[in-house]
Amino acid sequence: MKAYIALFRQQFLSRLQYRAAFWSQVVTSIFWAYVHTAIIAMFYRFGSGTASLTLRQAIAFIWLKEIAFTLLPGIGMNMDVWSRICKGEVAYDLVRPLDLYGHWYFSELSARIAPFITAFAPLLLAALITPGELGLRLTTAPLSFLAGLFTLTTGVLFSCAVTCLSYAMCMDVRVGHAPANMFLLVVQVLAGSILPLQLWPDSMQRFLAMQPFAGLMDLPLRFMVGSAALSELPRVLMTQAVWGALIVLLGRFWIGRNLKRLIVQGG
Amino acid sequence: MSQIELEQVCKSFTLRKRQKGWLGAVRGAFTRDTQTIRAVDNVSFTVDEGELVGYIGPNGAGKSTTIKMMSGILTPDSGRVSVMGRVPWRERVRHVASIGVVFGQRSQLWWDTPVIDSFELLRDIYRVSPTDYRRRLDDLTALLDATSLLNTPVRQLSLGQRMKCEFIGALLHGPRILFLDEPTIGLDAVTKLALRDFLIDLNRREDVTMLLTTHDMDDVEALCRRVMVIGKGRLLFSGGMDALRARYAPHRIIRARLAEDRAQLDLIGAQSVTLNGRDALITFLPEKTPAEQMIARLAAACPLADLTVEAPDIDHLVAEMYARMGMTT
Repeated sequence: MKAYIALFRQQFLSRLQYRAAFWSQVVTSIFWAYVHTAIIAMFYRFGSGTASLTLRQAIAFIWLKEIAFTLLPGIGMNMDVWSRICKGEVAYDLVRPLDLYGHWYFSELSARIAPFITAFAPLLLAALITPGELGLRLTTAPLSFLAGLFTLTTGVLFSCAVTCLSYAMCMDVRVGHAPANMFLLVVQVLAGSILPLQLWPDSMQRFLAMQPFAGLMDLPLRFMVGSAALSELPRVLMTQAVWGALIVLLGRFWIGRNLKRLIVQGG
Repeated sequence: MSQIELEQVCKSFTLRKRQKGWLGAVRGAFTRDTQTIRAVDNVSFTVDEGELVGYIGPNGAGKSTTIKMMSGILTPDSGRVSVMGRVPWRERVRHVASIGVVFGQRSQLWWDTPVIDSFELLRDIYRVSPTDYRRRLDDLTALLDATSLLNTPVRQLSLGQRMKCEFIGALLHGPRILFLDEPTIGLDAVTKLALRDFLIDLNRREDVTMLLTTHDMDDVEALCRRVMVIGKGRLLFSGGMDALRARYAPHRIIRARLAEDRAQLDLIGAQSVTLNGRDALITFLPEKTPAEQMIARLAAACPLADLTVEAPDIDHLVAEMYARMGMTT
């Protein structure tokens, strides 16, 4: 376990090396939050029909989404592993006395959490000081908010398994880079990164709640903005656990299979 | 029992051929031609503990593939590999804990952080005790003159400095076998010599077995007691440098500066004579005509201003050998 913690630490330290990258991440997130919240507010003001989120909840969702964005698989990618796979440097990962899946999983975990921790405070501050209806105003019960935080944390564990699955795709020459990228993009959309899933058409709601990737971000944020009852908590945890276990198994199996057919060309 | 044993090991891979240009790219999306390349073809050899073996061959001969099978990275299609009694790819995690690997064209250090961070990570990954780590790190940095590099981020190291650090990283856990895949590629003469001395010293002090692939024949000559030659996936030669010379370049070369102009020079026992103004280049086989006799005949044929006798340059020897084996790439 010490080895995996050391990997986590090393990856974390690497991420803290670049100030410009940190500030560009913060500024980009704030920019997108303003664009998204402005668009949502327009829809609420001029649209007809009813939505299952209030404007305040939808705005809060957008801000929280921007804060938690780096926890999603494939955001601010851990390009390191991708390029190591493509350039053959995966050879060095294989001469370590570690389980390859564990090796990648922990370095991914760190790649998710490090930017989240560093950017958390400035983003939250920006959300809170934004005046008027575009700012973050939470009226959620504390217990619901905690449930949201908790499921967001378990969601990170699931998120890393999804990225490891994309590594397996990337390693498999028959699948390769582009499908792995598309897969991650679909995952991000289905996790609610473009629009809160509750604002999607009613006819899709059943599917959206059952599909694996809602558990990454959308379901946890529903607790935080108060659009889901606390009684939903066991079901959300169950969804994350079952899908998470399946995706870990699939990723492990696939990477194991790839290793048997691995070719490292060019010296 | 030998420390490393390979028996009739084969590994092939599929090459996908694509046509050039737009049309080719579109066609390639629907059909493709494949070609199977036998990267390693029925290779067998053994290496004993403490041996320092050079593994040479032209680009694409299968050297790196063999190394990667011995280090547990690649799985062979058929054949038997045993390293310290283990099958590398089947018991990969236990196997790699007792070997060290340096790939000259890749890096195992973390690009963004100081070198020492990478070393501490490797310490934790290989579960090296703090005292052993301290001792080995001090030893290795002293030997390679790398103490001042420890706090520099890897991205700011020169290639030579980085290679020194790669070596330290590969040796922190005290491996019994060291696989070196083109470790001196791109290095300047000073660093190369320093690394060679370091490897010889390490081999002598700790009896570490080393298998070295390289294109630098001076490396092989300076380091290896045995050399194995691979070409097109097949093992073609295994033996000492002397045996290699005797087989592929048994001749010697006389370079002479003549004291007077000559249009022609006839020498009995010479394989070839090339005249360029007053410079003469003569090759002969010392086992047929001893050097002493050859020089005496030359001196009798023409007055001499200067003369040297040399063995053929090792790079030419290898080029000659590759050509004769039909291995030119």
